[in-house]
Amino acid sequence: MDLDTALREYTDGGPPTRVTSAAVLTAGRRVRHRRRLTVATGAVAVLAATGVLIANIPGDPAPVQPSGPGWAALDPQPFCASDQQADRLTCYLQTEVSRRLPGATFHRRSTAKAGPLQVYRDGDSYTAAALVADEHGIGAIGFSVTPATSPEAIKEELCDPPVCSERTGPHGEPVTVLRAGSTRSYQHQLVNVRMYARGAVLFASATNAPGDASPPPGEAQVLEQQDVTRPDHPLSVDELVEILAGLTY
Amino acid sequence: MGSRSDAEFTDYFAGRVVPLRRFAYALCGDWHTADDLVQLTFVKLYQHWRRARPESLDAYTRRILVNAFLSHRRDRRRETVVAEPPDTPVPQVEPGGDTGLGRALRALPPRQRAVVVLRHLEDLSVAEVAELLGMAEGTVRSQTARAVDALRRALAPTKE
Repeated sequence: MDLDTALREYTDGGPPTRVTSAAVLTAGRRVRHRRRLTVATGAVAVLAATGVLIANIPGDPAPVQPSGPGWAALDPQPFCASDQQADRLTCYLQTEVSRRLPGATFHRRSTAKAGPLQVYRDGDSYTAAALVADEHGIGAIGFSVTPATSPEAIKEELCDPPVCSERTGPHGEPVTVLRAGSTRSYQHQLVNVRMYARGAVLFASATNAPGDASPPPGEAQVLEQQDVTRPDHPLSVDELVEILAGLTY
Repeated sequence: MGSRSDAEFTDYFAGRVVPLRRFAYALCGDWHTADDLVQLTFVKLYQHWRRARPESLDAYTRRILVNAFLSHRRDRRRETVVAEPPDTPVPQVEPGGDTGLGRALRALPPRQRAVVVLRHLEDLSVAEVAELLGMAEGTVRSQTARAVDALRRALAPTKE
């Protein structure tokens, strides 16, 4: 008997299934309801934190401002003097980001292995991240460079417009853009930009809901469960594409 | 998600629940666990139903199920480490589950088992399996060859 037939015979029969579409729909709706409750609870928490200011100032809430030590402007010069690959990338990223966010201060992300926008090796990739604060509030940005053999590496799975879109960079580089959350001010926003150039996937991400905490092992960080701390993400998609297009490594 | 989408979901469920259950059983070797995996798969699929592309729906569903199976294996491994051994082992014998093929399948490493089941029960190509499991095509070929070899040995008539 050939293996295909043997496998089919092996999986024939069995007791009647306990799974019904009604049970699945009930469980699915319960999960969806729980997720909505979580989002609503998060929104209430944000309102509770900013409620007084909202009550006093018509329009948008006051920006969340940084507190505690560790916030400072970026100083790329020491990295620009080095010929190390990671330092050269740090020099470029810190210079380009500072230029686009004048007056902003930066802080190390608790999940990063180096200081704000300081590039380090993480497996095959070079990566860097930072919390960023300016007059609009606090957001988070991150970048990485990972070797890849094909432009297919930047394709997002199961992701259709308007959440995902494709475009090209300034030199015709293929780019995918994923927007998660909302496009409205002071609602959860996250954008991931992937560009394929020079044999690597160049990645940039920005969000207005930094949630600078490590999720429990095996669990993804859920955007809607983080506090929104500025009206929109700190760098636009066009700016992220520009920065990625200039990365040399 | 409106009622129309729910109706489409129910139609998809009706068409896919049996083959997915067989697929799950081939992976885990236990009908009760297979039911749990199938239920988990459809509940997760429901969460993404509106965004899932019709042309890749089956591939997406298989991926959810394989990930659920591999996660389930990891969870069970953790449980095994901390659990007290039972005083009297009670083997779980399922109809058909204790056949030579069932034992040989369960003896394979979980990812290798997933590879051979996807190739020989689900009839996926090497490229499709590679994409689904995030493996190189060469790895899929070598894992399939090892698994098929082990299963053929189990299926071969024993010499008395």
